[in-house]
Amino acid sequence: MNVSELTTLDGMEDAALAGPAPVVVMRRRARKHFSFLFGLVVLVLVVVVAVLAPLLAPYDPYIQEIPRRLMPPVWADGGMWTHMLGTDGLGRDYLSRMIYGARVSLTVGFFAAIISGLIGSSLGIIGGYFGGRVDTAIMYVVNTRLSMPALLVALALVSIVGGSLTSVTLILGFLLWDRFAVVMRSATQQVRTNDFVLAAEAVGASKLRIIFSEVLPNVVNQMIVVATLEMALAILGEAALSFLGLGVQPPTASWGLMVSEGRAFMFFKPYLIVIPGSAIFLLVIAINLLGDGVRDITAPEGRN
Amino acid sequence: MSVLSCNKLRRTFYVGKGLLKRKLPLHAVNGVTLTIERGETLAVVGESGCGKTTLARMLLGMLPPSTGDISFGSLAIGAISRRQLARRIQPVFQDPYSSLNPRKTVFQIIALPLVVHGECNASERRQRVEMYMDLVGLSRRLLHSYPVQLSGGQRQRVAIARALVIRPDIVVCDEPTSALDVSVQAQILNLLLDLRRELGLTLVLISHDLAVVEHMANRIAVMYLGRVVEEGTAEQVFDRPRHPYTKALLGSVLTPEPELGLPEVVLGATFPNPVEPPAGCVFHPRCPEFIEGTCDAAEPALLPVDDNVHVRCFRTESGPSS
Amino acid sequence: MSTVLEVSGLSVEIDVPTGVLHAADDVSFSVDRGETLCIVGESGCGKTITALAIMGLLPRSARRVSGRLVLEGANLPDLDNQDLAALRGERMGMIFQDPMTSLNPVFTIGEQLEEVYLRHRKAGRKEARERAVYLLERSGIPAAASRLGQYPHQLSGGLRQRVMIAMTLMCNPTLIIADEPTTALDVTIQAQILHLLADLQREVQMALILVTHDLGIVARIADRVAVMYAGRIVETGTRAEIFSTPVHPYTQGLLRCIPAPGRTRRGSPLGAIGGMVPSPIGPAIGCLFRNRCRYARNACAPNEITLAEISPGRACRCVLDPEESRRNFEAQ
Repeated sequence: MNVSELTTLDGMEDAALAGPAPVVVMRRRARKHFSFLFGLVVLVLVVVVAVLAPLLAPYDPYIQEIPRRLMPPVWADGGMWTHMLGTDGLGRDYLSRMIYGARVSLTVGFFAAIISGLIGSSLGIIGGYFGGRVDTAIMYVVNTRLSMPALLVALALVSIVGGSLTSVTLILGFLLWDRFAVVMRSATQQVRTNDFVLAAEAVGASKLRIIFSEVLPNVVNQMIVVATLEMALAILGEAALSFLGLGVQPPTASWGLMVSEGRAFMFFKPYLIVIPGSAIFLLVIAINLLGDGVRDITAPEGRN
Repeated sequence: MSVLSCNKLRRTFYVGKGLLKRKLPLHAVNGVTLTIERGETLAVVGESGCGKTTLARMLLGMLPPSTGDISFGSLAIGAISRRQLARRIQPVFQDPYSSLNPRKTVFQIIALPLVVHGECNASERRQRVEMYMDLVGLSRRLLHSYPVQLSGGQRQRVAIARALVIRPDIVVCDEPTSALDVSVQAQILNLLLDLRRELGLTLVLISHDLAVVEHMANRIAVMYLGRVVEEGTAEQVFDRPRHPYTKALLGSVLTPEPELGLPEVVLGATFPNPVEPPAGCVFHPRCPEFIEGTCDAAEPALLPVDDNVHVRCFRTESGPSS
Repeated sequence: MSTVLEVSGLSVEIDVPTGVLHAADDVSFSVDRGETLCIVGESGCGKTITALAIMGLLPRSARRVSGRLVLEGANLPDLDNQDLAALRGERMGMIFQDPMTSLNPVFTIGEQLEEVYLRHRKAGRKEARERAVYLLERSGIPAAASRLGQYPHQLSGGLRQRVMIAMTLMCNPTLIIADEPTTALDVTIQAQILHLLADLQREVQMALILVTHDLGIVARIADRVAVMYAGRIVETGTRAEIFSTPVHPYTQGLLRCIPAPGRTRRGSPLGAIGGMVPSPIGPAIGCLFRNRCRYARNACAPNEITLAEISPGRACRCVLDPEESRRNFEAQ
């Protein structure tokens, strides 16, 4: 085909790119972002510890040694290196229980976030994309959920169904999807108005293809940010439920349960509460910072 | 046989706030009849609120008309599936920043129509995309770049390549160069002229920039408040505008001729409320050639005058225009 | 003294993650009473940042690195924030591009107009109101008194822009800077607004700097023109000089790009400037237009090219001999 030389020449000279690819920019930002790196490192560490628990834990977390009960951690008077973090009221090694407790927190965190993410994002994206009556119906559902005090409902449900890792995960997963729905809905609405969505419709693409191929890639970074938030909330939720005796049941090691069990000795042996409490705090903060970091890193660049 | 025609097209929106207030009708497009012949470039011009964008959306099949019909050749638009329609008419949008998916590469963007229509297998797809990139003057080195790395002119070329890759009959360009710099506008306009010639394209050009329109169009339809008020060839409309609005519009264009000063535009500033349009001719409150008793009483029809120009004005209905 | 504003050697830099962005580089021009100077250029050329620098409204990330800005004898950068704020609105005013966002939506038109007056003059509400009504009517808004109680969202774009114009005139400034005042408006309203500006200027004899990318506007309203490219002024001259005998290859290229009756034929290709504007980040060496210029030669690269005076009021930043340049343009 013979195209006017003038036009081709213009285009060919335009081969210069105005900037690096988005992936490169994100990598660069990630390297410099303290919150992101801190959060990532802590989370990865906790995951590794949880996965390698059988290898890392010096003792079986269920074995009781009554003669050795209430030993303080190694840095306090009477502490010994054999039980680095001391022992609890039933003589169980605290370090091992902490390591296995990480499994509980992470399991609840991940899976509750995934379940709520699937439910909430689907509702939000469908409502945001189709608008109209579909959106109104979905918003009724979301508003119903928002008007419920989530933790109280979780408490009620768990007390009916009985506490266990599975029930806590599922119940939290089925309750914590509201933020996903709201954020994904508004993100989808914004993406929807872009001309490239109209262009895909004009090409004859099916609605399903448009949602997955055009809309989803543009909202997934916000989904990740909300997921980190919800994961942190799920972990806190499990800790709270277990603390109240309505979550993971003894003798399973859960950080929340450990705080509850340590309550009786709070004034004499504060480490029984402080250690698992700090772990919860650290993990939740790390996940939140990670979420902040992801948000900053994946923030779209402004128009040049 | 015209390649695209629409007849008494109307699109009504209902506006009104609050749950209890009755919603009022807004006729964004109100009785538009147009035909477009193969190889033509029809420009639809008008200012904001005239309905040209709504009209474009209806022609693209993206907005159903409230009443009236649209036909492609002998087929009514209702008889054509979405996929088939895509092969007949494709859009190029105004904003080069929002018309390309920022998460996709140039290749993926241009290849999308091919994927949707199942044309070509994977290797053929790449060849076809590269062919069209050459056609619109994009270096092949940009194949795997992202829109954020491209300039406005380059992005618009990608949008044009995407529109052309499944070889549609008609391309609707909605203000294709308004968001671009002057020097880049010229590049894109030249490109459109080349492509029109090379591929025998039929173009519908929506624009408010009359200088661009004069340069590109064969025929022009001037819209005001959802109606066509004047329609004719480019020469006819530009050299001898008949409708007072067209005259005012052309008079307001600031061409780079330093000898002329600022034009005196004699248009009243009272904008019509599209929900409660003026009685009679919708233009009459601002019209410098208003005839009391006639123009506020009834609405004029779009009638042919002289050399087959169509004008919607009482002044031109009776005999040759001034 | 008839010179209202004198800008010499203005440079503005902005810190960005990848380096230093030269938004404006060695910008110099002057405007007299009753004169309209159009600063014309495409996006990113530095025209808006120049306007903001003059008004002292630079964004926090930008800094004015050097240059003098003398408004009727007072060097603006020397003033502290309070004095500068006193000058703004009183001696110089600015009209922004987007009428939809330049008025505060929670206050009435009347309140916003009166506030300008009351802030700078020791006067009563009544006097401010009378002046507001007068200026609104002068700006072509009928039944002005009733408009005072309206809110911005009740007015159309054209009307809002007229209100903006009235607002800048409240204290009778000697300098008005209008940044793309008609870009967001319809074509038929554009002519009216420009007429208004021109008429008011003639009546009050203020200096008007109009920043635009539209050469059509420049052709019809400018007395003098400054063409900017990549942060620098590349050519200055009177309206007639710029349009009939442009000297800088960029100006020549721009003029070839736009369809003009008499010069361009329908359906024939428009002139175009190939290539892209170079990145404004990092040091700028030599002529920034050379990679797009059809007359580029070795001398364009290494050295600083100054804005050289060709004749009084006419200057060009190019190594080419002006005569040769003129002949090139005529040969088109």
